[in-house]
Amino acid sequence: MAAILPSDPAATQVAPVRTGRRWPLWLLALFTVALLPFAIGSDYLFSAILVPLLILSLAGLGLNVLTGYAGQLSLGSAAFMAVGAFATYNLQLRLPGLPMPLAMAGGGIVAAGTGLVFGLPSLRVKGFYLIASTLAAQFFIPWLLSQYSWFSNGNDSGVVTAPPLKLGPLDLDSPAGRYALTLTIVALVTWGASNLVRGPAGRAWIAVRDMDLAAAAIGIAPGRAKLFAFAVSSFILGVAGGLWAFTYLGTVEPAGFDLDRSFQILFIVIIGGLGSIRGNFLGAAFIVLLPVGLSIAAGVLAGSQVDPALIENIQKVIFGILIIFFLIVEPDGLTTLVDRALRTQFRWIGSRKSGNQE
Amino acid sequence: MSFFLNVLVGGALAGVMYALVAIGFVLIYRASGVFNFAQGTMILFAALTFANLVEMGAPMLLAFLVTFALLIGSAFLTERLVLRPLANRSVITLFLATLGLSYIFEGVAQIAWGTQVHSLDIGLPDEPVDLFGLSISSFDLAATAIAALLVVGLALLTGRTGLGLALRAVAADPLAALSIGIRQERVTVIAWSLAGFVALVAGLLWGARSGVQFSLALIVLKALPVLIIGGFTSVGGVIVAGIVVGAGEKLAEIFLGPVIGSGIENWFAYVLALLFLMIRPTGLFGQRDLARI
Amino acid sequence: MNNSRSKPLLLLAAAGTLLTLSACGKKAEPTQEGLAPAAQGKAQYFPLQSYRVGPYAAGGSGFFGGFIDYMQLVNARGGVNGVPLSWAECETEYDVEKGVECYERLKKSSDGSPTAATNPLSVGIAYATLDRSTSDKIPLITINHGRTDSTDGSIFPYVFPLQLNPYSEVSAIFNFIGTRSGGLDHLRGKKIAVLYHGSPYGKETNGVIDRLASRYGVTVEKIEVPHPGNEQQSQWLKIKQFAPEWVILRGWGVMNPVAIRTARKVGFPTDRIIGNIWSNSEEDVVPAGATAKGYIAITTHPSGTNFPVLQQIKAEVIEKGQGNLADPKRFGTVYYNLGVVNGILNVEAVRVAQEKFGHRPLTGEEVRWGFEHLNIDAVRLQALGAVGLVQPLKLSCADHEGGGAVRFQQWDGAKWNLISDWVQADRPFLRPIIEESARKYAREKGINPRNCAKES
Repeated sequence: MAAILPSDPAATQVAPVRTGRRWPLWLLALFTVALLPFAIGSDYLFSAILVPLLILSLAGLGLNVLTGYAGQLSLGSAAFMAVGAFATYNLQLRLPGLPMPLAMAGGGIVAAGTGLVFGLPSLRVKGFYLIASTLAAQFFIPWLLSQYSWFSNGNDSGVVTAPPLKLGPLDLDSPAGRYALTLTIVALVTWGASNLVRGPAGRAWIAVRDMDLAAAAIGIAPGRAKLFAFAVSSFILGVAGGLWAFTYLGTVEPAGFDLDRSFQILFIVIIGGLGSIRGNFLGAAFIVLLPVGLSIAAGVLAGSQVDPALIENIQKVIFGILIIFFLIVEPDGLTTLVDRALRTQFRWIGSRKSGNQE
Repeated sequence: MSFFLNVLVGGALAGVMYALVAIGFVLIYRASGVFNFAQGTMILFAALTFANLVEMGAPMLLAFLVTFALLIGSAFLTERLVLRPLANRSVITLFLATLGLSYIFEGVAQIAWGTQVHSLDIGLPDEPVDLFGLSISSFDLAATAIAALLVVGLALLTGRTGLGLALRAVAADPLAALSIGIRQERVTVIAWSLAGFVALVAGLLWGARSGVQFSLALIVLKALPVLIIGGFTSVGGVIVAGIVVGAGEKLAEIFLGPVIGSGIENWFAYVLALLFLMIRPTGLFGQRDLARI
Repeated sequence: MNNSRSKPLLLLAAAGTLLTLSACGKKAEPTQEGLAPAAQGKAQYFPLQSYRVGPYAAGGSGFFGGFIDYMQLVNARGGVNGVPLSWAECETEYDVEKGVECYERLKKSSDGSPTAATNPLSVGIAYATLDRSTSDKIPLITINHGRTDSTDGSIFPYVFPLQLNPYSEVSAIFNFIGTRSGGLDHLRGKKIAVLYHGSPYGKETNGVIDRLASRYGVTVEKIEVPHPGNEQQSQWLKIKQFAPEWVILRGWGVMNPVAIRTARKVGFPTDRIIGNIWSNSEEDVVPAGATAKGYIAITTHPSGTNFPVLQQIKAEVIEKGQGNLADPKRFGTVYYNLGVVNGILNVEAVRVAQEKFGHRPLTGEEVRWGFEHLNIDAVRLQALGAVGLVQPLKLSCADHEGGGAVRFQQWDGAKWNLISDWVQADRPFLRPIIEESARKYAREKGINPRNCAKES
C-alpha cells in the first residue's frame, strides 16, 4: 500500500534556518491586519467570520501537528476539542477565581491526557487502520460527556452555557472583546507550536512520518515521538475547543463536536497544506468563507426567486467539486499554491536568499 | 435465555445489513485501492432515485434498471474525472476525494429528487416470525437471504468468470495486470458499478426498513468498524465482522447498558474494532501489509 | 517554510477578501413579493434562519412555508395596520454554526426596517443565539420547544417558548394516559416506557419525567436511542421485556418511523405509542407505511385545511401563485400549520405592540413587550379565523409560554384525526421546577431577575 503521505521530504516545507532579517516588516503587517477589524467594528465580521476562522485555524494546527508532521492520521479531532471545552467549563465552574486563560490551559492539558490514551494504539497499529483509534475517541467521548450529567453541571440536556467572559477587570463579552481574546490565545499557541515544530521535536516527528524504521535506526524513539505528537496535538485541539465554547458559540453541546467537525478540520489541513503552520489559516479561511461567499453570491445573483434548498444543494456540489479540484491541482495545499503564485508574481518584493532552505 | 437469544439473533441479522453496505467498500478497495467514503451517499442516491421512479409510476424492475444504469454512468464519470487524475496519489488524498464525491452525490440526489421523506415498499413484509421459539423479523430474514445471494453471486463472478479473474489480477498486482493487457480503467469502472449495484440493493433494503431519507447516508458510519474488523479486502470477512458487530452492539446495549449507561451502541462497534486491531492489526481476514524498506 | 516575503501580502490579500465579504455580509435581501414597493425602512422585518436542506428538511420546509405564506396573506391585506412585513432567508441546514452565522448576517435588515423577532425552529441554534438575542434586544421565539426554563420571563426577557414547553408536553401526556386509565389516581402501579432521542432535546425532560412518575406512582423506564435512530432493535426488545402499558416517543426525524416499524417488528401495539410534539407529523408516519395505523401523537394545532385562515391563504396567496411550498400537497399538514400558527402569533405580538407604541415598524424591544402582552382569547381567535387551530394564549412577564395545552390525534393510515379535547399540562406543579432551573441559570450568568410584579 502506498505511504500515507507524500514521501518526498522536499515536497513538505521545513525551514531549518531563520535569519530574522525580515521580522519587523511582516510582523508589522500581521499586526495591522489583525487590528484592522477593530476599525471596521462589524458584529458580523467578529462573531461570525473572524472568531470561528481563528479557532478553526487553531484546530487545524492541532491536527496538522499530528497528521501533517508526525504522519498519524486522525479522525477524532473534534472529540479532543469537546474534551477541552468541557474541561475548561468544569475547571471554571468548580475552581471559582481561576482566571479564564488558566482554565483554558487546563482544558488543553486534560485534552492532552485524553489524546495520549487514544494515541497508545499507534504504537502497534500503522497506516490507514489507525483511524480506528481516533474514530473510537470520536464516538466514545461525546457519549461520555453527555451520559454523565456531572460534566454539564447536572444539566438534564447535557448542554452547558458559558459564563460571561471576564478577564480580571476586563469585560470581554462584546464581539470585539471575544475577537481580541481569541486572537491573543491563537497567536500565543501558534507561536509556541511553530517553535516546537522547528525544533528537535518537530524533526523527530518528520523523521517518524517519513520512515519510522530509519528514524529508529538513528536513535529517535518512534513510540515516544508519536505519543508526544498526540499529546501536543490534543492540547492545541483542547484549547481550540475551549475557545469554541467560550468565545464563539457561548454554548457547548457534544453534538457540535461530531464526525462532521472532524472531517471539517481534516479538510482544513489538507486544503491548507500538510506540514505547514500558515496553511492552517488559509485552509480555515477557505472552509469558513466559501459557504458564506457562495450563499451571498447566490443571494446577489439569483435574488429571492430561487428556492433556497436548490441553492444550498448547488453549494454542496460546488464544494465537493472544489475539494476534488484542489486535490488534483495542488495536493500540497493552498500554502504551496499561494507561495508559488507570489514567488512568480511578486519577484520585486525581494529575492530569495541563496542557501535559505525553503 | 430466550431473550438473550432473541437479542443475539436480531443483532446478527441487523449486522448483516451493515455488512451489505460494507461489501460495496470492499469491492472498490480491492479494485482501486480507494476507501470510498461516497458509498453512503451512493446508497442515498440509489434509494431516492428508485423510490421516486416507483412513485412516478414505473414498475419496480424498470426503476431498478434505470437506477443501476445511472450508477454505472456515475462510475464512468468518477473513473474519468476523479480517479484518473489522482492516480498514484496517497491513500488519504483518494479518501478525501471520495469525501468530496459524497458531497456531490448528496447534492445531486437532493437537487433531482428533493428532500422529502419517501416510504418504500418492496414487497417484503415486516412481521415477527416464530422460529425455534424465537421471535425473528421476517424482513430481516429476507434481507439476510438477499445478502447471501449477493455474496454467492459476487463469489461466482470473481471466481468463475474472466471478468472476475481480471478484478483479482488488478487487486493482486496492478502493474503485472497492466503488462498482460488488462485495462485498469475498465476494471475500475466495473468495480465501481458493482459497488453501485450493491449500494442499490442496500439502499432498497434500508429504505424499506427506515424510509428513504437523508439519514441513509449515515449508515456508512456503522459500516466503517465492520470494515476495520473484517479487513478491507475480504467479502467473507466483512459478513462475519458484520454479524459480530451487530450482535455485539445489541447485546452490549441491553446487558451493559443498565450498568454503564444507555447509548453504548454509539461507540461500541468502534471500540470493538479498536480492540480487534490491537490483536490483529490488519483485520480478521485482511491482507497483511508488508512494509518494505 | 515561513516565506517571510509572502507573509504580509498573503495576509493583506486575506484581509482584503474578508473586508469585501464582510461588507457583503451586512446586506440581507429582504423579500416583499406581491406588494407594491414600500418606502425605505418602512417594513417590519423578520429574519428567517430556515432549513430546507439536510436531514430535517421536511420539517423546516413545511414550517417556513406556512410562516411565509401567512405573512404573504397579511401583506396582501395591507400589512399590520398598514405596515408591511418583510423577511430574508438564510439556510442553516439545522446546523448550529450556520444558525449563528445566519443570525449575525440577517439580524439587521438591509433597508433599515427594524427587526421583530427570530424564529430558528432549532433547540441548538436557540441555545447558541440566546445570549446574542438578549444583548441585541431581539426576541427569540421557540414555539413548542426550546429551553424550558425560558418560560420564566423574569430571567429570560427575550426568549419565548410559545404555547408549549418540553415539561408541559410530558405532563400533558401523563394526564392523557391518566384519562385513558380512568383517572390519574388509577395510574399507580402502571408502567410507562419513554423512548427519547439521544440529544439535548431528548434528554431535557428526563428529570421531570422522574418527578411526574414518583408523583403518580408510575414505574418509568427511560431508553435512549442514539442519533439518528436508524436502528432500534435493542431498544424495542428492552421495551418488550419491560412490558409497559404505554410508550412515550420523544423522537426527531428518522427515529420516528423506525420506532413505529420496530415496534411492530417486536410485536408492541402501535396504538399504545404516544408521540410528542416532534413526532407528530405526516413526515414521521408516512415512511412507516401501514404499520403506523393507530399511532397517537400530541399536537398544539390540528392538521387539515378547513380553518378560515387557511382558506384565506389558499384564496389570496396560493391560488395567486405565491405559495411558498414546493409541493402543494403539503398545504394543511402538521408542519405547515405550525408555521401558520407561528405566523399568527408573531404578527399578533406586533399588532399588540403597535397599539401601545404606534402604527409603525417597531423595534425588537417593543415587539418583546407585544409578546409579553399577548392575550388571544376566543373572540380574537374568531376574528383571526383560527378557532380550533390555535389554543387560547395569555402570556405575561413571568409566563412566556402562555398555553401548555395539547390535543391528541391518531393516524388512520391517511390522515390525522383528533381524538381528544384540549388536555392541560399540570403547570402549577411544573412551575417551581422551572423557576429553580431558571434561578440556577441566573446565578451562573450573574443575571439580575426582573421584578415582574412591578412591570406593566
